[in-house]
Amino acid sequence: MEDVDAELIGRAQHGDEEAFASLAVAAGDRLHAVAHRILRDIDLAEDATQQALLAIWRDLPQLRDPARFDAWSYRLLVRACYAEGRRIRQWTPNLHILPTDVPAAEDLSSVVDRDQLERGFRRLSIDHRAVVVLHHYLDLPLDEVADVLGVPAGTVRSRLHHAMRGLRAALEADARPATQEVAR
Amino acid sequence: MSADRDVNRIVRSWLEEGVTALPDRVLDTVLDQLPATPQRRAPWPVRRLLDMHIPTRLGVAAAAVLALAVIGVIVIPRGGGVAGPGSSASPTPSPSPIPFPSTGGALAPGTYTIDDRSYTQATHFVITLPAGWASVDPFIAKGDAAGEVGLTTWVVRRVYTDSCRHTTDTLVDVGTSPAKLVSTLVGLKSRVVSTPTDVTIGGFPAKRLEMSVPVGLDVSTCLYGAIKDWPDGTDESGGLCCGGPGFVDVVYVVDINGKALAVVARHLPGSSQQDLGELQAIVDSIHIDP
Repeated sequence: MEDVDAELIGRAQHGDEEAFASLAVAAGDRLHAVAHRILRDIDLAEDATQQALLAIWRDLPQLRDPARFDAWSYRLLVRACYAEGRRIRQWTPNLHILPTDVPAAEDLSSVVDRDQLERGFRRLSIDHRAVVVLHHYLDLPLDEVADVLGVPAGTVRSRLHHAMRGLRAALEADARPATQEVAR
Repeated sequence: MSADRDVNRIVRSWLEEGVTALPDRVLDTVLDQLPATPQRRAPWPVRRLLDMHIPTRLGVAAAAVLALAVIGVIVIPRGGGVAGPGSSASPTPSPSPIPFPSTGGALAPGTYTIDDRSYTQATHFVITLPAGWASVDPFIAKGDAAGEVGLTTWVVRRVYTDSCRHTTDTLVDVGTSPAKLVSTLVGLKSRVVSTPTDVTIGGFPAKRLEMSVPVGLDVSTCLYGAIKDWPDGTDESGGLCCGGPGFVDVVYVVDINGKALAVVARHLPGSSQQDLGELQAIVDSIHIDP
């Protein structure tokens, strides 16, 4: 944690809204990126990030070690993703959009991989998605993932194993023709 | 699909795709909602090191480690050996109090010593803790946010005259005098302070004051949305502050050979009777070796 961040955190803990705005600007993109990868939905990710940032503001005075701000903020974000994930099951139709900006050089098999990964990933619970994203996107070691999620390291290893097995199975499934919009 | 694929590599590559930038409108919405979103204050004060220069911070951190060790001493069980002057009724510490740990976390039951005079006015400050307590820089606490109980020590040099409007211009110097500290605390604005009563802490004479928040005072309207009674030395970003709703500080101003030490036992409306009993037992266990 840079001193400037620790100083900002200290001010924000005392209710300094300008200091928090600087923190939110600095953290907003990375939180949103993680939320989008967990939830696979841009609107839900924005909602989760918004809720996480407000939770960070609300609970920041209780953060005792500013050096843990990043891990702590991810924990609040994942909680927000759980809440938004419940909305997925309630409101989202089984419909997803394939990326339209796929590089031209990519071959059909890459597109199929994406589609199948998307399908496989969406079948995972938020618990399992969070472990995959924190470990494979943020490059957090498993013990840090456990710290963020507040679960034992063994649980993280188990979830990661289960999740990767599911994604591997999805990749190994029969390739299907890729379309721009797939309704299931 | 080839069985030889590196699934991890594919997944990592796939995860790299997608949005990263948070739209400004989302950030604007968050910032617009801040005034209507009260912060949840930590139920315990913070001796803040953030605003200090690094060498100072390191020095204070080292001192805090020692202080924690002293706190460990504070935790020394009754019947121990470090006798304070005229303290036949004081708890007796165990023969080998445990140095208070330098890091936060759960504490094993036992007798702990804090050996940092800057936090305790004493060579050894010993307390005895039952199970379930934790060190929370540099305090001890138990319970969740709604019912937390805790204990801290403080060498107070300056006090705000108004605990709600705790600005620099409201600070008064109380020196080291126990009487001056007591009279200043009794006169605090934005606090309800009980009449001081005579007690003995760690074998030394002390005044007991119970400080609560006035009924009808909206703490969120206070500076930084918090009650704060005194700063941390010269660092005004720290200090005794930030109690949860309805919190009560029982302050013991201990007269250690003419120098004041504040021992603060805090509880919340949701604190259980068992935790309150343990907190009192810890106070009773204090042994001070000047």
